[in-house]
Amino acid sequence: MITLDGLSTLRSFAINPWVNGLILGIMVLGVFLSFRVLNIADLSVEGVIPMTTMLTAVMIGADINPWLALLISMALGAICGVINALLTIYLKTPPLLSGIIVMALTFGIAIMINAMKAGQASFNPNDHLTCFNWLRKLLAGDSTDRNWLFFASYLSYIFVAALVLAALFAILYFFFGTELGMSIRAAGKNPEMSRANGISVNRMSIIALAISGALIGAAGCLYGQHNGSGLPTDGQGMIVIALSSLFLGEIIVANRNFKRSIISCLVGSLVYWYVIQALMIVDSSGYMLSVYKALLLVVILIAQRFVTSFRAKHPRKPKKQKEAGRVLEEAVIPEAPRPLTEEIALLCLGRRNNA
Amino acid sequence: MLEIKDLHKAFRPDSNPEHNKTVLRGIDLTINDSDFITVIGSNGSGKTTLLNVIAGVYMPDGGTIALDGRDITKLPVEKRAKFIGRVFQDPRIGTIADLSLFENLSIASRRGQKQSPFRWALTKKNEEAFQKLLEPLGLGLENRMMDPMGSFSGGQRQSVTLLMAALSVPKLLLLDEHTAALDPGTAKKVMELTDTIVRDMKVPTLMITHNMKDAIKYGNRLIMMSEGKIIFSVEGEEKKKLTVNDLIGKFTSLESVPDSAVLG
Ligand SMILES: Nc1ncnc2c1ncn2[C@@H]1O[C@H](COP(=O)(O)OP(=O)(O)O)[C@@H](O)[C@H]1O
Ligand SMILES: [Mg+2]
Repeated sequence: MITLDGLSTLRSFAINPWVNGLILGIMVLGVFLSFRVLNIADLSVEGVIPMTTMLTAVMIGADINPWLALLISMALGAICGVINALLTIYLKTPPLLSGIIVMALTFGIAIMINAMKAGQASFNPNDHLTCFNWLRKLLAGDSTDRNWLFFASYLSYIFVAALVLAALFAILYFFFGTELGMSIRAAGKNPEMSRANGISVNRMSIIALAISGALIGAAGCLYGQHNGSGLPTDGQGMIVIALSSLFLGEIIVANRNFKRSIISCLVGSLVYWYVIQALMIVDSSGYMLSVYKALLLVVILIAQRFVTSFRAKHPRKPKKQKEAGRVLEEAVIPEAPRPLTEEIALLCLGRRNNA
Repeated sequence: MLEIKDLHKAFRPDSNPEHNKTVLRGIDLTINDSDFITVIGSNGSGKTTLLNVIAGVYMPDGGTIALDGRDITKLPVEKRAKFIGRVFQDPRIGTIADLSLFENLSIASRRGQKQSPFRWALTKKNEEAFQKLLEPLGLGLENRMMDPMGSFSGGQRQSVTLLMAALSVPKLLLLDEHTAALDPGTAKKVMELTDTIVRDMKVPTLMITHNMKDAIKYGNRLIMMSEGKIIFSVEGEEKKKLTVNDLIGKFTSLESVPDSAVLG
């Protein structure tokens, strides 16, 4: 027998993880860029999120176009990323510290806005246009059915969040397939070799952190629009959420290439929020949630170790293994190797360089 | 032509001048366009540091480096990469393990070319060209273009790194004990490949080696370093007549026999 209470539990179980998972999945993509692509533990997300939720609440309250608010938040996030990178490059602060400085700065801005708004950085979604509620109005029409209104509003969250996410996902996928994107991935993974191949590692880390910041800013903006308010505490625990989602995704989806890596961020984010929702049903008191999140991260890290060592022991068979199976140790370089003529090199690579 | 004049380099680990370590003490070296120079010297004699200063990883304290008459002493690494190809001792450094073979080659092929950042990185045309380039190695690498570099053996990686360094035909190739981490059989093959590439592409090359036989066998000129100086240089016919014992003799006269001299 499903009680009314049971029904709403079921409903929130079906819907809430999608809303959180999609909106904060954008943040996970941002953290993925700093943490995985650049190998930097960037904590600034804890400050950038509340800064953008609060700014968004103020902007929406002032009837600024919500999509413009989204762009502004992304631009601010990008600026934070650039500051972060410049601190590391020019002041030689360790990356961790640069991130903490940006976190403190952006958190400070959130507190400032909060004080200026006397703790009332919020808006009524019925009175102001957001990225979500145009769709809800469209779906709900003049209906007064509470269930249908409820459904329409959640559908609008999920649809719009998925739309923004899909757009960002596509942009990221194509961008990181370009020469510039490939250079960024190279610079993060092997700076020494990248420099030896003419890639400016500093420039790459500025660009990557700017993109990371823009993604986090976008997440913060949508989060603020969804919440209808901004609080300085909005960023609390965000780094735990982001890293947990990231690792969880990597456990579920083996990230053999960039596309799979970004897919794993989204999968991780959704699954993470399902786990959180389940925990909230088991213990609805709520005040233990942060503790659960910390413990969950520990569990995820342990699982990650097992999965990593399992994958190392059971590598995927390379394609066309038959022909490719010969390794150098067995291969015979012919007595007179077919000359690697300059013509062949020129064929693919163009002219001899002129200084 | 690369001209190095009176190169000096000291490392300063902290502000205490007593901790300063002078590594290069006045290196003069001219590398002609047809040169394949092998470099030997005991551990710590400054060979790697010399290569790093030439490549721009470290700025020298004194002296100048000029390439084809242009002073490049102050140019950062990534700018010099346009005309300098490098292979490191550690196979893991020369390529990017997480990126595919195709991507690694693409990165190397862009070196020194006009940049077009928003062009798709992997193109069909490049794939075919790279496969043609890999085929002569006889390692079957041309069938594994999409595999991450990390899934290849050390020898395969060094072979690829060599190709990468020689792509975009550099004006100078720097090799730092690039066969040292390989087993003897593989090392021999990679050395032969090196010789083929250097000769076919006519790239001026500076090769550090711990193997005296290789130092004698390959190249047209041999230099020996000790305590930050070039103490011995021999080329042409004279070099061909050199024996390992001659070199060991040189070392013992310095009373600093490197391990590799004993091991052969
Ligand atoms: N980055 C560095 N910082 C401090 N000392 C260094 C650095 N690189 C090299 N050295 C020192 O310089 C000396 C020469 O090193 P190196 O050029 O690597 O010698 P080699 O390659 O001939 O064995 C060594 O004593 C080494 O400890
Ligand atoms: Mg060395």
